[in-house]
Amino acid sequence: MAEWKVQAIKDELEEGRSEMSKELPISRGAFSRRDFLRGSSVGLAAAMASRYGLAAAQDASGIPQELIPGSPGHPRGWTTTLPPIPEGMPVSPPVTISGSRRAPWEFAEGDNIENSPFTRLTAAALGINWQLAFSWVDPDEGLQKYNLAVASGELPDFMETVPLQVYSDLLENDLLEDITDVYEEVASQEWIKDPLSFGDGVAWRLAEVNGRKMGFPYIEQAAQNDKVMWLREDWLEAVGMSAPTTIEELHAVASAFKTADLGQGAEGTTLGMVACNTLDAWYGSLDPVFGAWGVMPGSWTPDANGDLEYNSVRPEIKEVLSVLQGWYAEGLFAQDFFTLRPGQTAFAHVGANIVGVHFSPAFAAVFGLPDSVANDPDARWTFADIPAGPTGIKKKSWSNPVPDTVYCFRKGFEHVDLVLKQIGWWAELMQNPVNRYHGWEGTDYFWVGDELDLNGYDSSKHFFGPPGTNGGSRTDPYFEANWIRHRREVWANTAEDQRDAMMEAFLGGDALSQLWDRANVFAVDRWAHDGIRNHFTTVPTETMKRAGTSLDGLEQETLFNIIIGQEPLDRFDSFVEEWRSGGGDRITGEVNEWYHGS
Amino acid sequence: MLLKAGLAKRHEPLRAYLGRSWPLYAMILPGLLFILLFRYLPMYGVIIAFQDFSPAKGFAASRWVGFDNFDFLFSIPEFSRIFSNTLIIAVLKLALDQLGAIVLALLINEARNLVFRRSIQTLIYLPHFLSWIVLGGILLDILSPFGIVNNVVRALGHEPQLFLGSNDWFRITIIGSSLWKGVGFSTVVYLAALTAISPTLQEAAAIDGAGRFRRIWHIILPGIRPTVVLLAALSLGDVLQAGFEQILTLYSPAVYRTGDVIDTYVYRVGLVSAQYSLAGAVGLFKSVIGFFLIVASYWLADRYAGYRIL
Repeated sequence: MAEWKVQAIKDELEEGRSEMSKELPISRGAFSRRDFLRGSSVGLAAAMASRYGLAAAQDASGIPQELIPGSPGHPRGWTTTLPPIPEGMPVSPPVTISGSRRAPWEFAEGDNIENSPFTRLTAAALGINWQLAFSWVDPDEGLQKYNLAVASGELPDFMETVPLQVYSDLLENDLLEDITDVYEEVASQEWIKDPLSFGDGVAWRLAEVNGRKMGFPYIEQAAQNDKVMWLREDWLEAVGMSAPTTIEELHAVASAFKTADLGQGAEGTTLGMVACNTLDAWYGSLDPVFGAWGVMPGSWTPDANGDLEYNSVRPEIKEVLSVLQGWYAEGLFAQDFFTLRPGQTAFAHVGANIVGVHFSPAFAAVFGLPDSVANDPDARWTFADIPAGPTGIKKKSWSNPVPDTVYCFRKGFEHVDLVLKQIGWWAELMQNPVNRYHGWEGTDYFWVGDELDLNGYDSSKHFFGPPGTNGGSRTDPYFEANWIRHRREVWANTAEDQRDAMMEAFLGGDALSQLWDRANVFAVDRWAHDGIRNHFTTVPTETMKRAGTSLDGLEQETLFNIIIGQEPLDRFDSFVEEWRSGGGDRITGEVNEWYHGS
Repeated sequence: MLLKAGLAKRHEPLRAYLGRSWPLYAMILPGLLFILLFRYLPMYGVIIAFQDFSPAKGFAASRWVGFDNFDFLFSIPEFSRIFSNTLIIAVLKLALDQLGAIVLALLINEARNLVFRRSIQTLIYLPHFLSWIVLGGILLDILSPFGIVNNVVRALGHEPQLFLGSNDWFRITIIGSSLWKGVGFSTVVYLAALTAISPTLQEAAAIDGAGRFRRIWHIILPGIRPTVVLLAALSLGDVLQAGFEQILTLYSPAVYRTGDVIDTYVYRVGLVSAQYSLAGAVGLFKSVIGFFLIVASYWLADRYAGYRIL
């Protein structure tokens, strides 16, 4: 094949990718038709590339073909495009960096954490060799090993998900490298800096201390725990009602389900709604009910004067409690709901088919709902937006994608720049759908004739640092949503005879995982707007450390006892007094001091 | 004591004695080392109760804070509540566990059929080996409003009860389930003690016309009295151990009033911020109380059961 042809295809790929990549991470709405056409032209280019063997061009960068992900050689395969190698890389001689990792992992035969598809490609493309300092499985073990590493003075160069208490200890004793300047200089604008700037920079709430970057953020996916309203479509039809749009309608629907006793359990066991031992829970939550009055227990939000106010003591809470007290008395909730953990409700209530409405995240489609459908093949679930309150407010708890943990660099570590370049390069490879990164044959997927078996080992768990690791820590909270959109809008519009096996495997997924995808995008679209965000995002204040447990206990005890009628509604007023005098006022002062200071 | 007794009895030279019995001492050595290494040496760590401990600084360089951690503990507004909950739950658990174990051991001991006896023993040991996390899930299920227990309650014409959710029932449920889990295993020592009672005494009493209850009362119970006193004395050291895992698995905010104990409270403090030193102070506080109680009960054991170590 002529030289110029290869170059032309390469150029087209380059162009397509960089144009796409500009669009993707910031695209919040649906793809435009233009985007789609551009996407498919890239798809075509990729198809041509694989037919004409673009491999020759990539060999130029010196990376052996077998290290590159994808299956370009397979008749129904696809080609993965590697992003341009960052300047000065691969470093020579190669640099060895030690890192700590959260296990467990699984590997293809013969691989291990220091010799995986990830480490091999990283070594070949970037010149970085990774060495495992230590690993752990459960959080307690991780805490112990970090404490041990701190006490013995032998910190790894790069530390994965350092627990908060270890992090503050490391900071206090000046054991961490300040990466501010290196970050400014080398971190990829497009794949690190921009995506990490969401939510007023909340990604940096822990990693940045007094304006200095002392670590790299660990972030989860957008709206991961944001609730949608899950509904039994078949029950709605049975009672002749439509999906509720207000709290009042929600009450009517829940009561109708209960009265009609549509549940699968013994007579009279049907519930109206799910609730559990946490009001703002990760499953079976009541946070959209509180949100309908614009408040969220446990959250700090700005009041009219711009000061942070603790929501649990706001008068609106009393109104919500009076509603919930009524619902409990009517038997809409399980009598013992407050003794159940969130996850238990997925099995005891949703899976057992005794309930037809619940507020749970998009992933309920694969947690709880599968049990429901297994127990009753006629069960049909759908989702809808959360209902609005009496004054039209429609809010829910904003799931913060920044948990209490952070990646750290050892004080004196010389290669922070290399790690940041590695993160940027992998983030581009993985997070831009156009690059068609689906991992490696033999690790992430297997060919069974012309079909794909996707039950592999998830090579991203083998990564040292983002965009991989066990927690699925990307650099972009919209990673998952972007991919879902890409599949639903670009892949789904690819002519069927032009789809490769990977497209087919995803587009042909079962009904519940399709439902998950739809609910996920639905929740992500409302993440920024409908969420009540807890604005207090730093370490506990002095008074919180001393009185926080006592005040939290008082709050939980009071709120639940009011809902279940063991305490009268007016107990709320004396609770507010007790909270204020018991340290709440001091905490409010400290919180605002921090808020206005930062 | 062993050494002295051996010498006194046999009047043999120390060298000969050691030459003969050194293997016994050698066998005791690993156990002693273990206790020294893992029980006594870590006691050094109690100093963190008087520090603002930071793992990066270590024991030597962490700031000393005197009794601050204890001040914090005793100034918790709910301290009297969590202390009395701890005491009530722990003491009732200990007392009922001992009592239940004695009764069960006696019952098993009286059973004639060996197969029946063995299988009952195995069955009642079993729950001991289940973790509270597993049992917690089971209990939540069977004690739920439509669980098996409440179904029976309903069938008998009563109102269903919230065994885990009401302040009237929570302690009863905690103590009852702990009894169910542990009492079987507690019978082990009593059953061993029962085998040591000479059958001739029983036979003699039977010939004299003593019935089953008279034999139990006059022969068996006095026979195991030292064991009962010893176990009761030892268990006094646990008087502030209300069962952290169990309560953590089963409680909820609605029953804090009757079910929140020192350990669960401190656990929640730890959730707010890492509190190695506070946890250390709580551990030390409980150990000191346990220590005094053990000393007192040892004195009682000596006085009333003639039991002594030396």
